[in-house]
Amino acid sequence: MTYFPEEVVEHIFDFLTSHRDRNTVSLVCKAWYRVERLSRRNVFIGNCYAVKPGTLVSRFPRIRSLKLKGKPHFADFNLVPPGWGANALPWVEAIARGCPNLEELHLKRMVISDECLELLARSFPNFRALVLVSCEGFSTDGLAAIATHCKWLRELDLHENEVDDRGEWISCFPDSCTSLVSLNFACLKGEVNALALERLVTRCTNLQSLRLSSAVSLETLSRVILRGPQLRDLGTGSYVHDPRSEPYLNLASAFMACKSLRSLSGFWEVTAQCLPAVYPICSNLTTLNLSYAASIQGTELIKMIRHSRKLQSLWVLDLIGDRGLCVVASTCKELQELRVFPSDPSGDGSAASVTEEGLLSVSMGCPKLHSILYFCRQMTNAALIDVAKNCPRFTRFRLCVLDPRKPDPLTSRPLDEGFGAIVRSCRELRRLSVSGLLTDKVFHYIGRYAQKLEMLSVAFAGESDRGMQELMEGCRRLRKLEIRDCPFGDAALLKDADKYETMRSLWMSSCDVTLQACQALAAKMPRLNVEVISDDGDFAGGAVCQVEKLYVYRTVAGPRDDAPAYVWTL
Amino acid sequence: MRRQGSSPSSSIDSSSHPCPSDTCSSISQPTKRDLSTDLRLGIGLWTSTTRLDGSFTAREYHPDWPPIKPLLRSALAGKGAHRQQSSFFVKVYMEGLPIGRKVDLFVHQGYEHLLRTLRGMFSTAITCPDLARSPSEKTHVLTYEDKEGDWMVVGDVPWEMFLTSVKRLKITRADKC
Repeated sequence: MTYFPEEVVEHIFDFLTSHRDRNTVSLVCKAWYRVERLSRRNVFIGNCYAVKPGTLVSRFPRIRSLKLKGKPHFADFNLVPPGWGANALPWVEAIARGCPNLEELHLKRMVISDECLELLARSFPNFRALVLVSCEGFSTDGLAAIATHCKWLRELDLHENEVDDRGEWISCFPDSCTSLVSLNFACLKGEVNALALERLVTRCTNLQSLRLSSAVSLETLSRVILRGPQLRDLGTGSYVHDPRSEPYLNLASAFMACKSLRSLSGFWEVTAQCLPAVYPICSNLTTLNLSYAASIQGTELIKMIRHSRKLQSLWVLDLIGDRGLCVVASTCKELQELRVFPSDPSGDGSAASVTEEGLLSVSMGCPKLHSILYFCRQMTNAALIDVAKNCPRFTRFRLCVLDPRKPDPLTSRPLDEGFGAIVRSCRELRRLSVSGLLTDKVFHYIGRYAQKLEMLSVAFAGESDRGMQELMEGCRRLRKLEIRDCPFGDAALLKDADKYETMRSLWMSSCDVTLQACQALAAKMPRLNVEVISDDGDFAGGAVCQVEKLYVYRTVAGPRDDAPAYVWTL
Repeated sequence: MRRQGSSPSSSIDSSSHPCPSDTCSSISQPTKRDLSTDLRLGIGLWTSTTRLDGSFTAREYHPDWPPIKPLLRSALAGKGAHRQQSSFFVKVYMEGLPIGRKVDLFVHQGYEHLLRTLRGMFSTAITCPDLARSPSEKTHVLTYEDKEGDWMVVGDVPWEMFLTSVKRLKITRADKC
């Protein structure tokens, strides 16, 4: 029984910003369910196959913003074969029919075609923001359609997508388009019309974020910066030029005028002697992403860091070295997030890399550090134990020792105790990735201590089913579990089948699970989709054959109808 | 079907460390691999592991390890050839000073740049002798020894050609040229 008129209840719900809160109030009673669904503006769907598009549209007819995620996370590392699914078209079609007021669409790891982009551009007159992260299936033709038809476009953010180049599209933004606030096309490879870009930046006076692709020259960059001194976030294009030339000198003085710049990225190719132009900006930066700057050597990186005292987020290649991380530790006292990527993934061992020393110095020097992704050549238990003591506030801790199953080089022992210290100390840990030589013991620690853990990634670890079982028994808040190349089998998979309904998904590849066990799981839990992926599309092996890849997720939509031949939903 | 052997990659000297029970418990299983997938091109990681008995397993090829996104992988692959910025250090002596310096010619874009660096290193004016000035005692001139062992004045040939023939540099007093 509601004691307030619906308008008042709706107004109260307006103050609830989190999805979880709104989901909760909708469960209280039918009246609240009704008010909530009709006033809901933003919906987030973490797995596009968990619910049907039609269900979304009929429950929430007035949504303005939708965020969808498709393929499992390990698809980022080529573990999911092409053609798996996560097609955006059914969603766009359904929303075009039912919710014409859509303004924003965010897609992550989905497949979206040019036809779908065209449909999107034509169906929603108030469309303002398109964010595509790690998507594929489209070309610059689709982008041209968006540029041409979305009159009120404020945000076009293309983040790490695979896009076919079919020609120039920036010139498709009409002269009447002045509303852009954010434009990110850093991942594109094709040609860019420099003049069209300059004109666009000139007329979009509210532009705050601009990330250019490597096709944009330093010369164009200097002209663009002149037109847009109000920028807060910049991704450079190709940063190559003669440092004695006029365009470079113009760039240097243009940068001086950029008082609002707080975030910097890009540097696809670099002339080291041109970097000094950036130093005046560095002192105001809070975010610096040099993870694609393979041409900037350690000494240059260190020089940039020395100027960047206010950094809160740093993404960098391991070219920075332990020495460079030491400089980070002494300079960047506001640092909250650090990511160190490998510059030489094929691991010759001869190239630059970082070790436990770099991580240790950062943990000692940066008191606000709470999120880390660290690719390193080696790690020791002693260092991890000290890091755990120095930084009990970690919320995200992802460690990748480049050589799988590599033990602690000082003691030749597994890294169980090191990770154990991390989970014991970091009570707020929500995301964890483990690597190096690990036995079942580390899973005992994780299950026992990581009570707030929501996402766990495991590779080349463990000795027996016991490991995974301890995980399943322990981590109550676990939502996503992804496992590859571990000796976990049927007993582990079936240990706690009910738990999978409390999670978004489970991924297991190159483990010891049999088809029979997967069938048993599917039979027991009708509200899970148990998908078995076979790399060669062959399921003739019978009930006892090993399963190469397994993806289990909860759903109210039933088995999907768009699965390719190599996916078998049990 | 691929199965990963669970051999620990550590060699343990049993005389100095008692063999920890947890690492000894894993049995080194022979790795069965579908060799046709190993020929897949791509950037992957080769690892070798040493079993407890000291024998090597075959190097395992993991085409999708380490876990980095395709965009980063291709950006790094493209850089592979140029990533190690090559350097070309030559000795530089100044007349009257017994201890020389070294300078990386590849870092410099041309003669102007090199002269600026050397002026800074040696705190002296260095000119090119083609400037129509009568040589005074205070200025220096840059010379180099070429592949044939001859000492030449720097600046006559194009920069790229100079790079192929220079062996070392000397800053001499102008009145000697």
